[in-house]
Amino acid sequence: MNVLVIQVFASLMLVLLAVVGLLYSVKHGDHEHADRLSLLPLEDDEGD
Amino acid sequence: MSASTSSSCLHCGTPVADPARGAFCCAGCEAVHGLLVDQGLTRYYALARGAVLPATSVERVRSHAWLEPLRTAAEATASPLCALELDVQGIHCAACVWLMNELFRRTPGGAGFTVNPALGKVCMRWRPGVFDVERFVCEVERFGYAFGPSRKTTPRPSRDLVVRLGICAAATMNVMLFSFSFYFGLSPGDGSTFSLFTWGSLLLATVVVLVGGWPFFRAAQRGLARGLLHLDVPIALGITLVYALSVVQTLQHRGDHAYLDTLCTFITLMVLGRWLQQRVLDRNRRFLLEDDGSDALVVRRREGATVAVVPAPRVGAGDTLLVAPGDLLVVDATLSQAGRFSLDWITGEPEPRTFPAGETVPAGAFNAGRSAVEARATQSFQQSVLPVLLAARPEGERRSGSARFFDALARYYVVTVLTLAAMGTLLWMHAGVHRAVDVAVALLVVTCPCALGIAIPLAHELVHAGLRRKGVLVRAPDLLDRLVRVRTVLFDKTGTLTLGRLDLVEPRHPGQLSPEIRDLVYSMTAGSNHPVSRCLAKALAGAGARVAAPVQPEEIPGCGLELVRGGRRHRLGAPGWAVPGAAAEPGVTLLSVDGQLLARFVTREAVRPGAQREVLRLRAAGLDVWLLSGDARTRVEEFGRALGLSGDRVLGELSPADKAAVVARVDRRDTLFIGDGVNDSLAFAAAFAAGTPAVDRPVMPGKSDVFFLGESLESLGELLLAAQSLRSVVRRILAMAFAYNAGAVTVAMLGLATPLGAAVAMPASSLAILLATTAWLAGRRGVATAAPKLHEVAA
Repeated sequence: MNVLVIQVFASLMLVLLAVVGLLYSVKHGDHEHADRLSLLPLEDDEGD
Repeated sequence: MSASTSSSCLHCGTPVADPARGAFCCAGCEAVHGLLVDQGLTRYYALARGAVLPATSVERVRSHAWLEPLRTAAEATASPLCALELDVQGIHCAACVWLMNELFRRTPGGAGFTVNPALGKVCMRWRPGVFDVERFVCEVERFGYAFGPSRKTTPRPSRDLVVRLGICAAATMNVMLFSFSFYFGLSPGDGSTFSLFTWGSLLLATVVVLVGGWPFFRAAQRGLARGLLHLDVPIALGITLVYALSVVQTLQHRGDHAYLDTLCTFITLMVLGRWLQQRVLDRNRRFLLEDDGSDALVVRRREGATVAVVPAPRVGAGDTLLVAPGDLLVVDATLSQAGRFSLDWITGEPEPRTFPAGETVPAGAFNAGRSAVEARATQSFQQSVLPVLLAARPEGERRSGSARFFDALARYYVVTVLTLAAMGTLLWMHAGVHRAVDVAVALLVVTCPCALGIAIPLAHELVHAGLRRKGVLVRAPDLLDRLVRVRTVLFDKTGTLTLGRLDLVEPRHPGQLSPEIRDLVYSMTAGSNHPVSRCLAKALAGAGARVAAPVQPEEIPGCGLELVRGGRRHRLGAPGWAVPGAAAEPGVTLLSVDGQLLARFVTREAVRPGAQREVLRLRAAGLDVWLLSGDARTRVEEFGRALGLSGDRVLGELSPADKAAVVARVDRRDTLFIGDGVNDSLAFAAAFAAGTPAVDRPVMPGKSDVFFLGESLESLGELLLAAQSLRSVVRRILAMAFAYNAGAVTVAMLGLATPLGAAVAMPASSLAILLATTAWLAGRRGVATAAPKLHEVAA
């Protein structure tokens, strides 16, 4: 029983975390351009 | 570099309709490809992964008068770094972002650069005095992008829906996980675990109902307050009833009999449908610069010893204006010095005209010369013709029959579902209130508005995405519904069916000239801005001509170029002037030495690639095709004949009002007008639907229902075909939905469907209809691809 409670709690916390992440992304206007974000590692390569 | 076959454009992969063009579909693609190769930026193609859109024209010099006050304000701050946010037109993929970043990195003095492709915005930071903002903007615009003042914002409904969708999806997935345990046998006998799972489900479902259901509750309440019945009423009622019943079940310790997973899935799918509808149009709109007309226009006005950049509406009669190359003249003005102006945007004349000092140039003319010209305004901006031509069309003026059909369908659907639910309740009241409510809930749940709420938006999204890949960006939400009614297509000529520049009739001619003559003509024409000179210089450069020695030919207005070299008089220009006694021929330019003929060049207006074929295809499809132009009647008639149009369908020397009158006369709510200039603005408003290939011009794309990228017009046929396909698929969706609903209602009315059964049937039907929609559209794409190709006809 205790394990289940912890798992449910962890699951709900993950949901909350995902929602907070989404709100942050929408607030910063970058939720629709995964394209640009996918280039960030590339920019690091060029900086080296 | 992108993989391309020999018949595909090396830049964008579009099939090359005219083999004479070589490896590119249009001049824009050729120019941008050349720049990418020259500057070592071919990684662009690897990053784009074949998703490159046709390049827009890069020939026109864009005015950057709007940039000066923004840059001055940014550099006026005390901070060591200046920052400026600009809107950008033309970003469509990660490769565009990379390209802009790379160009910024190569510009000295830049400190930081962020591109937001979702919004079509860039933010740059730089060290003042080192970084040249205008130079950077010009450099990026050479690749087919366009910058403008920061005006774009994310529409609140769009941002709102994405948050609601995210919350609903996250919570729904967890409700589903809880529900699995009920399906696998978790029952009230399991004590506290059962309670934990049922209350956990209810908690998350409450979040979904409040967050995801809110748009439907609000719309239903507003609709009812105004006496309107629309689709959101049964959706809101269904959500409320199912949720209430589930709460009752949970309170009675029978949470395993609640329908929370179905309810949450339903709400999430409905929010997804709304978001898809909103997103497709937002994306296409954000591709362009925000340009609502005169607000975007600024002019340089002389104020004492200084020149100030002021918004066009502030220009008054008597103001002295400085019109830089590429600038638009916003009022009628008298020139203080001679200048060269392009009137194609206002009258449709393809070739720029030279105006002597003292002559009045009409509003809407572009400075096509190479230097700034001073002019005195003879009227205020409010008296000018531009505000009328730029005025935005009233919203909702052209609500299509199809949109009205869907409104009516939704209304009837709502009335029918509510009546059926009431009938079910009454019919089963004899078996007890609980049984009657069960039947009513089953009816409300099983009669799924999935077809209207999700499948039709999905079909629109898929069709729009397909069109976007072909360079067609739809702005009006109901355009595809309207296009199926189109029976008459009216084209403007200059800039629409032609490219507003000249081509050599015999492109191989320069290669057959002797090297001396080739280099001589190139030397004479390279420095001239006349359309014939530009055409010859380009063709000669392609044939390997080089400037042998610096020359300074004299440009004689109305005649041509004259160069005295080594005691001999070289003339390139009108036949009678270059070779005395030679007969005047339209489109012919002669080269002579001391009056003796050396070479003869024949030019004609450059026809937009595929224009003739597209006109043929439209006529073959039974459409009535017209050609309307402000250009000289003889030229328009000659062009119309080349297109195979009958005389009464070809009209020249039309003013903007004349064009609008013709469109209004032939319009039976079935006209599509394709134009490019501000002189087409009134015709746009008069037509049932309007489109433009001129994305590089201010204002016009923003007034169009659709715009086309690249030089080719072939995508017009694709657009009409897509509209037909969409209508056919929508009909199938409606037929399928009707068949399902009729069967489901019968079963529910007979009391054979429990709410749980209905809750299973509804998402199953939604899934089936979504899969069918995707398969039908994929099948349509296959048919369209397999359509026989037409061949270009000779002019």
